[in-house]
Amino acid sequence: MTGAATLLVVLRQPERLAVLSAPEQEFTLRLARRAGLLGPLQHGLERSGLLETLPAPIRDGLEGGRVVADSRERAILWEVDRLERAFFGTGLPVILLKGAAYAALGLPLARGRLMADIDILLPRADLPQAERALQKHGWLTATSDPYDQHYYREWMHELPPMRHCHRPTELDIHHAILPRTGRLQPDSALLLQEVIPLPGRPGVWTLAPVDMVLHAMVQLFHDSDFGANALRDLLDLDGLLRHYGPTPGFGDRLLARGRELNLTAPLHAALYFLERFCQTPVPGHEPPGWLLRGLITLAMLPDHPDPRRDGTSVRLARWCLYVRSHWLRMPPGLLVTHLTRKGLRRWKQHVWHRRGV
Amino acid sequence: MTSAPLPISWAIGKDASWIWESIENSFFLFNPHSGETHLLNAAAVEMLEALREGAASLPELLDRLGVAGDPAPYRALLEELDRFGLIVPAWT
Amino acid sequence: MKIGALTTGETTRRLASADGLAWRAGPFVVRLRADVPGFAGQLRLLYGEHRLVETGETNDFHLELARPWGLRRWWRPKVFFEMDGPTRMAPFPLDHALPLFEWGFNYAIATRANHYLLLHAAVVAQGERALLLPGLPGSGKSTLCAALVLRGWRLLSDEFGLLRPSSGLLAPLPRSIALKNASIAVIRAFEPSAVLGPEFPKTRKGTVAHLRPPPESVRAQEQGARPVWVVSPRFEAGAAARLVPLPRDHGFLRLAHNAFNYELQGERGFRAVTRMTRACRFFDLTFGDPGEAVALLDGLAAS
Repeated sequence: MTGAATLLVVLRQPERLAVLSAPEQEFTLRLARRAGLLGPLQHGLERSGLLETLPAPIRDGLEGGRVVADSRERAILWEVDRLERAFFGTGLPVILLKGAAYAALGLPLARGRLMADIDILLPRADLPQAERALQKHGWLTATSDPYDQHYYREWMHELPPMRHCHRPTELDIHHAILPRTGRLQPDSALLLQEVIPLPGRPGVWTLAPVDMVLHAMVQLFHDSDFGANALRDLLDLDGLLRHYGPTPGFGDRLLARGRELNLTAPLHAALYFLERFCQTPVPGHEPPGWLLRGLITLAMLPDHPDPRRDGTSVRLARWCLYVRSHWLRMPPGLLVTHLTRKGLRRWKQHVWHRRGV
Repeated sequence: MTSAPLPISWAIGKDASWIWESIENSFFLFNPHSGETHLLNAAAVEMLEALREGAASLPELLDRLGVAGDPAPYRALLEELDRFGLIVPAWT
Repeated sequence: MKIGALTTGETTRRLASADGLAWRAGPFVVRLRADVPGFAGQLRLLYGEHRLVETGETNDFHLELARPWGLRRWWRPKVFFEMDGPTRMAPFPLDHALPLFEWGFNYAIATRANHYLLLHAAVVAQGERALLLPGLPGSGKSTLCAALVLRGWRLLSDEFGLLRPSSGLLAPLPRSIALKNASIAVIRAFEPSAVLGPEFPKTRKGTVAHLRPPPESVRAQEQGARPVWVVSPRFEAGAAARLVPLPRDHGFLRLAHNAFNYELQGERGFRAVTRMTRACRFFDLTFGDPGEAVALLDGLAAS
């Protein structure tokens, strides 16, 4: 079994970690760290009461990962609280997307999930009012680069990221789940019609479960930097389908909603990969073409902790998917400018941060 | 932040799980929701204690605290507690 | 078996092998791969007393001093610090591999060891009672730490107070003490028999030389200590040593500000700092002469 396959098995059945050899345990831990999955692994092992049976370095490594994941979850949920406050009296809804929604709903997949940013959805017409309310309560636009500002406002499905002046968490405000320029244009109005209030939190909402699944799926295929978070995105989908799938009629509603939002092709591809990698119970679907199948299978692997053993084919697959994800989002002329800009930035010298985490 | 009209009343945030420690002459408050630690002076502690009796407007709070005179410092204190997320505005 | 029991040639060979060389450093097992000329001898000097760990034991850190291929391997050669792959640390000149490793190891701990409350402090002890010296760069923390261990205090760490939130105990991590600039000569004058590694000029922090940790401190590296005193040093040329007590509420703020990962720890960080604040006495220490400062702290420990 490859390391990545072992990791997937262990995430589903934590007790399997305890029966691995010491080197296999250690390798699985390093892979999990690379993929940002120490938190879920630690939670799973804690629930099954197996932590104490593991060697100290494994236990400590997991605990360290758990501390980081818990602090991020706390930070995200606090941002939700602060957004509620900033929108108090404005009539603006706080509609949570992705990780923030999973955490606020207390879904099992949120346990230990490493969350970086908070994402919310607003009707496009409400954006100026929202931006004003946020600025009044201490949020600033995180980028001052005029090109970035222009790029976001002109082409993207979100505002330039904002950040509160006293807190590190980045806020992404979306008005759609895919860029304005992309070929696929799921209608945000349809998503907004179906939002669901968070129990006990007037003013805070999440997408309907089928829409959460479709958004997580869009995330997996269409967001750039495929590879870094691909496995985590796949596990989000797995967790959502395992949680909501057993609801009667869920599979049919999901497929129908996929058609309605013009997302049938990526949805079928996602279901195929979920069944294949995670043995997720999924509704019937058509497998994707051989090329996409091959590329994703390779690119889904987490980085090898020893970079010299990370194959060129994996990197190539990631590059192809990176280009593809941008191709899905932008007209070709723009693509060249943007990739070049991003490419240049990658060469900027890294600096050492004493407090870097 | 001071230009907006103050909402009608204020309430304690989710206080059930605050952790208090008094060390020598200082009050330390840990808010598990934000992960932030606050060092509070006596005035802030009294204000939070007064709000524990229930949501209240500024005049009601001054009444509870037995304060007569200039409400401006108390208004500023409420705004500060609001900024830290220790109290929240509420419509009455 | 200790690292010092290997010959320099054997150390070089193991460091360059696919598995690298692994040893126990305090609570951690560190596995290092390095193909850098001259590095093995320096490592043996500073880590000679540390116990080797055989392949097959579980490691906490997989570190590597990596030399790039291409131009930078030959022309003004550089060396990179890696931890399970590339890190954000800037490369160093190849002949500065030792300071790079020491700082890299600190970086590894600061970014990974979040199962501890990580205090940015030197820690020394008398038996099980620990004295923490939190301090900003330039405060004289390392100089004072070096002087104390050269006069019989046990070294826990020059850089990290590793506080286990569950037990409230500090874990020792005895490694070299990085002396910078003028403090190198100060320590050589203070104790002529002190064993120092080579001087590395023009590093990020000026000239650096590493004081070897006392062998008995390394042998005691599995004995935790409980925090008892927190002394914030401030070096002031020519000043008479003066120890001024601080109220505990100030102490709380000192500790919370001093911990790298206080915010990250959440409630258990708050509880750990509270517990430690109640258990400790806090002081400011101004000093110009390390000998006088050591005498004051010896007195504190005896009182």
